[in-house]
Amino acid sequence: MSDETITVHRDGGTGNDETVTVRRGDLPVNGETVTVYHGNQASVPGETVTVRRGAAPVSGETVTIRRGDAPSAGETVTVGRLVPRANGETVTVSHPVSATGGETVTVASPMAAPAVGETVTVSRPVTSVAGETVTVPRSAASGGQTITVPRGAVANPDGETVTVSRGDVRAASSVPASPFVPEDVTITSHDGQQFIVHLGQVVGHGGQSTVFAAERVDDGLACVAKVFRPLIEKDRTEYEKTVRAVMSLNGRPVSETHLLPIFAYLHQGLSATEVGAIAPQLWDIAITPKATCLSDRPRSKHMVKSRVIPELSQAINLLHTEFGIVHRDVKPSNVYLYDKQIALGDYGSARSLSGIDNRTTKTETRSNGYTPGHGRMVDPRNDWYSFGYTIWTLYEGNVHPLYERLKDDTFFEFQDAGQPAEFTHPDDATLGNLLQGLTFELANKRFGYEEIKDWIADPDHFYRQLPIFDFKSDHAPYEFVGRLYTDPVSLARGLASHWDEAKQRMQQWQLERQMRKWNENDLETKIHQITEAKAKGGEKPNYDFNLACVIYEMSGGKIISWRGEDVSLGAGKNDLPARIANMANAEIDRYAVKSGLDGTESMGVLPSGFLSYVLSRQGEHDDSVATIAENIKAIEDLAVASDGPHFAACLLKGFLTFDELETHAAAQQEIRRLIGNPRAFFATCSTSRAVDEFFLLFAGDVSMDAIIKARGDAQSRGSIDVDVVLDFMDRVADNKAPVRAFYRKYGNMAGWIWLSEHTALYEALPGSAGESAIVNLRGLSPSAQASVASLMQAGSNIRIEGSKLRADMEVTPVPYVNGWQTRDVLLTRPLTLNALFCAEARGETVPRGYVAELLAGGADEQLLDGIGIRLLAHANLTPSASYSQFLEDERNDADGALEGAIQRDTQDYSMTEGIADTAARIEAVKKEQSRVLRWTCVVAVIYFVAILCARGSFGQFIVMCGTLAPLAVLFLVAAFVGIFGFLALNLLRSFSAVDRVQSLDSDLAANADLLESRLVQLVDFDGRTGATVEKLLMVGVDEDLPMTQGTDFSFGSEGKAFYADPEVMDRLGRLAIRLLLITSAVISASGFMGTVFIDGDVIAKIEVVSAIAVDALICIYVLGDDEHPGSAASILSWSWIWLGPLVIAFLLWGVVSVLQAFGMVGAIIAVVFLIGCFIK
Amino acid sequence: MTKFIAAAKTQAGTNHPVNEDRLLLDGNVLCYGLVGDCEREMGCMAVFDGVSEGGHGAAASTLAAQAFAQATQVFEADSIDVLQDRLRMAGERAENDVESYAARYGLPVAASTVAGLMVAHDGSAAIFNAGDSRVYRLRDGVLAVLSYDHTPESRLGGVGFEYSDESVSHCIELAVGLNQGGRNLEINTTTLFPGDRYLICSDGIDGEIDLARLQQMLASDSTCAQLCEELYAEARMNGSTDDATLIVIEIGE
Repeated sequence: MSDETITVHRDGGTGNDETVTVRRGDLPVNGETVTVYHGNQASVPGETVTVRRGAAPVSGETVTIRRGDAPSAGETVTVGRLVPRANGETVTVSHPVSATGGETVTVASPMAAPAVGETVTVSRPVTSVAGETVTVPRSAASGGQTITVPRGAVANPDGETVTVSRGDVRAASSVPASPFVPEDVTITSHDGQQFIVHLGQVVGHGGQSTVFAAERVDDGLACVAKVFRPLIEKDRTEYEKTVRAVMSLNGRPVSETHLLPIFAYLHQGLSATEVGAIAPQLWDIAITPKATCLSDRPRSKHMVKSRVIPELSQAINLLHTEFGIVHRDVKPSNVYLYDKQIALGDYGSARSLSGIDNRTTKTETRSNGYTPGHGRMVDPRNDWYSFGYTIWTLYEGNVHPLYERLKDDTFFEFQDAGQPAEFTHPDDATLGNLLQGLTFELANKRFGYEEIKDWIADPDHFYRQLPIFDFKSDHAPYEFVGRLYTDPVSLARGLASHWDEAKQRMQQWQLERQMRKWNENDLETKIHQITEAKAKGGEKPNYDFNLACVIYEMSGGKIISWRGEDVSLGAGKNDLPARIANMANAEIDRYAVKSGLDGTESMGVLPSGFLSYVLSRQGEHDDSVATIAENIKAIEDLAVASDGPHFAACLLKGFLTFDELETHAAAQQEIRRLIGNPRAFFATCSTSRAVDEFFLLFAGDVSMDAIIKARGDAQSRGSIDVDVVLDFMDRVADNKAPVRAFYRKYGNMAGWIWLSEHTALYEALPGSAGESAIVNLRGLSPSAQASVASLMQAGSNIRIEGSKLRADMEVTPVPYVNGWQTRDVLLTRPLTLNALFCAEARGETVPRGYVAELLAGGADEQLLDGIGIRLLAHANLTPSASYSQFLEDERNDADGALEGAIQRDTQDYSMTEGIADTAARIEAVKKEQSRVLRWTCVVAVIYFVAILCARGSFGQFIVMCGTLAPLAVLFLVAAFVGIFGFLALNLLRSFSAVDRVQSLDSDLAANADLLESRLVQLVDFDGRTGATVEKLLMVGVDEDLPMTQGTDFSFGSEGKAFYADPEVMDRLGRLAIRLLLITSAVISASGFMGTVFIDGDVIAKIEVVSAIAVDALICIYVLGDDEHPGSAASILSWSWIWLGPLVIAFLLWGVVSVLQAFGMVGAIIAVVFLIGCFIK
Repeated sequence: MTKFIAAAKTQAGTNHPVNEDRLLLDGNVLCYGLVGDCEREMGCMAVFDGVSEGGHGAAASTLAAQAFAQATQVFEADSIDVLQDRLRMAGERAENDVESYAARYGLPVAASTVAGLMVAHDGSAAIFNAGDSRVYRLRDGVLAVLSYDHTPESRLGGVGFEYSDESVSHCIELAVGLNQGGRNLEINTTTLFPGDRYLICSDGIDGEIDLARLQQMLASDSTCAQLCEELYAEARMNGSTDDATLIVIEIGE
């Protein structure tokens, strides 16, 4: 076997069974290509081309079979191998035309069975058939044509793929079928030359054309005809420029131009019929001489360096300089060996530098490995890039240096990275330097013809500094407000300086696009997510927030800017904490201002949530910021939720400027001050501003959540809840005891806590609800050390039990407190006045003792009134207008149920009214009693003296004393009985208050509005006796109720009847006193009559008659309708009537008698005085 | 569910004998006419611009549009991820159809640009494109180009302004049918908000209207249908001779 030849050219025709054998004895170099060249003759059926090799192939070696002509039907191409295939080795057979039917491709392994584990696969474009023969359909008319690739005696296993790989990415060189009906067509060029085009002999395909064999008629010169669809006018104009330029060189030798001549170009100069078409069409045709393509087989490195580089570069330079033409498609397959000269051909993509129409080339496919990333640009520098890779490929034996990337379709990525390919031949380092410079991605730094000339001049010592690919500065800088930016960080800084413009750019997606250009893919994704993120609540994007986040991300966390202001939370002198420390409070509000989406106001950084975003990002790498993040988040949430920005802004300031020692000391001092001064405490709690200032003292010292929650809870009801403030104090105070003591006195639950500590003031029947409540209250009484929170909770529970107790008491409240039993069973009763629920603490009715203790403890009424603690019975504290408001509040609390509210109030007020009114009546009755007694005595004495006067002599007085003394005594007794009768009546009238309350109750359902009005009048204390109220207020804590059962004014069990029907009893009492009066009158009259009977004179008779008549008048009067029977006023009025008889007596007995009467006056006065003293 | 009003128009220019643009709306592929204002809730809306020679561009855009129509018709995506998957599937189908067509007729190039918008149930939307057809959005007075031009100008030029190098020829680097390594669509996501206006158009429209004018016109009180006519007239008045196709969408409450 010959080891000398590796390539067989077959220039002549071959007959059947001709065998072309390639043998070689040397070890092939890895990557070396072995090419079987099959001339330009059509193969005949049965022809076999065999490639044999004498040496074992290296793993990964590529064996390429190329054919220059179209296969004929039935033709067999056999690829034989003499050695076993290496494991993993791939042999690829490429078939450049679309196979449609009938064609058979056979792959055979000639020498050896596949090694164990070897994978041999038969691939083809149609469904595989098991076994050795694969039939590939093809569109060519030569049905039945067979291409056989033998692989020895061993049958291929099912699914085996045998692949013949090629050194470049172009379609395999197997001859395709003609797309036209095969025929020879003669055409004539513009200059009169004639050419025969063999449309049945396809010799290749261009990008948009098919190349056919042709020959010049004049001299039989072998040519090729490039046939393509008619160019549109713009493209044709461009192409014709090139053609004219090249044709203008036809007179010059190729050795001078190194450009493949164009013999002819005819627009629509060829009429040909496509296969399957029914009529011919006109096609453009260009004819060039047949030449050998350099890519058809490897060339020696020496040839590449000594011939191809200088001659090809000369051709390109000629196009550029002489004609202003950019070739745009320099590659090995367009470099020819023609007339023993290297010549550049194929001008289909060439464009003139003048008159460029930017829109002429509509499409561009990916790089074929020879054009830069923007290779379709009409840029002469790109031809040098193509030149570089063309030389490189030829130098590598027709293997592109980045063949693997081209195959994997990752060449684009390589270009984007901008780094040169590795040149692996140290012997030709200078060439490598040149090629790497030529293939530099960026045209402005790329080597060009000058460097090539330098290399040609001194290839052994050539060296140029390779350009450095700085992707960001070299590639698409970003223009922003008059400046060009080349990296994200500097751009972020620029964005922060021109906020509004930056927002627009962001909204236009320009920033993320620029990141893409800078190959910052993660940033691109991040920015897109930020830009398109919804705002909180699903609103439109908050562009300020989004931009701030974008700037932060672009700067890698270096720039923390809000609307151009540095809001870094670091410790630098320009960072926010340092700056905010020197700002006035009014100035910092802008950090917490919320704005509407209309953009009328700039949103502050706090409500935007940007600081939290920053801290959360920082927290991904630094756990220490977690606490700061929590606090800032709390402030931000507050800024969003608050009506005003001030508190949140102040919190931020406080937090950022927090000093551990000073802040804590100041805060504790304030707690001590407020607890020691209730008035100051309640003043602090009187306005939101003041309480805010208090909370702000703790910024930094206490967690923001705690402060914000306390502040929110304290103001949740529209006014300041002192309980929340005290609870907060209790939590943060170093010394908690004073705070807790303060709560027990002034907290909202203080009244109820007091109740739980004073259950001894109540007694209840066993089994009653009151008893249960009392037991529970004792259990609920908080310990002395209980925290404010515990006190609040306990107070809440106590209130429930206290309400039960109160309800049980109020079943029969008024009669009990007035000291009378009722027919109802008394379930629960207060044992002292302080046990009564007749005080109010912040809208709740609480035991009176709680308020009394506060007063006794030094709290003044002004303070208590100011904080909503008062005694309801206090006239000065409960004016009518206040009560109207009180009713309104009650109505609201009762969910609008006016009746319920009024009924409740009625009960409250009936109790206090009963107390006050009864006490007043008692006082009044006592006074009445005294007055009645006095006047009765006076009237009786006058009456007695009048009788004496009427008798006219002192002696008769003595007689009368002796005879009428028993009657006089009887009279006096009757008078005193009458006095007590008066007293009884007056006590009965004390029920009038109860009556009114009861009538109000019954009126509730009938007319609520009217009732409300009447209730208001009811509590109008102006009409009351001030002394009564004062007395109520003066009652001490331990003082018993003045009107409990068993007092002098109790009627015992009989009293039930009075209360049961006071009106009846009023009438009965009125009748009784009238009877008493009549009785006394009758007795008096009897006395007169007795004296008349003794003396028997006419005057006396007249006197008696007159007296009887007067008494009768008195009886008539008394029997009349007296609204106040038995009252002192009534008695006094009677006394004037009783003077009637006295006047008559004086008229009858004259002056002497009068003088006698005066004589008696002194004695009478003395007697009356003595009697009065006795009574009193 | 997001509701929106859409109107569209497509009409041939003078560059080609036939309109090589196609309009996909409501599952229908249109090559001529105006679609008036109509309220919609879901769907895929897109314009296609054929790229080929000898009138094959119309076939390419038709095939691409039909493939998208079939892939997106009667399809309701609950989330943007599902929607993107469906669009990629549509892109692959269109790619295959156009490639097959090109192979059948031996065309060196047959492709179609595409630009469109597809809405998901959750109020999000996918913006997709290949080539130089564009999707614009006017939100809060700011006009944004949401699509990515697959042209040298876009790739080489800075973001936000046209590449000024005259040596760059206008060509398309990505389109349905160009077989660019399995990638034939650029898909972005966005969220729709009431008041947003979207313009999807081929280069026959926006190629001749500068961005400032476009923003001004989209911000006018005109209805979507009126805008279609106005933008078309503006482009023609400015010298556009290419086929022109556009869809104007206004997001409702």
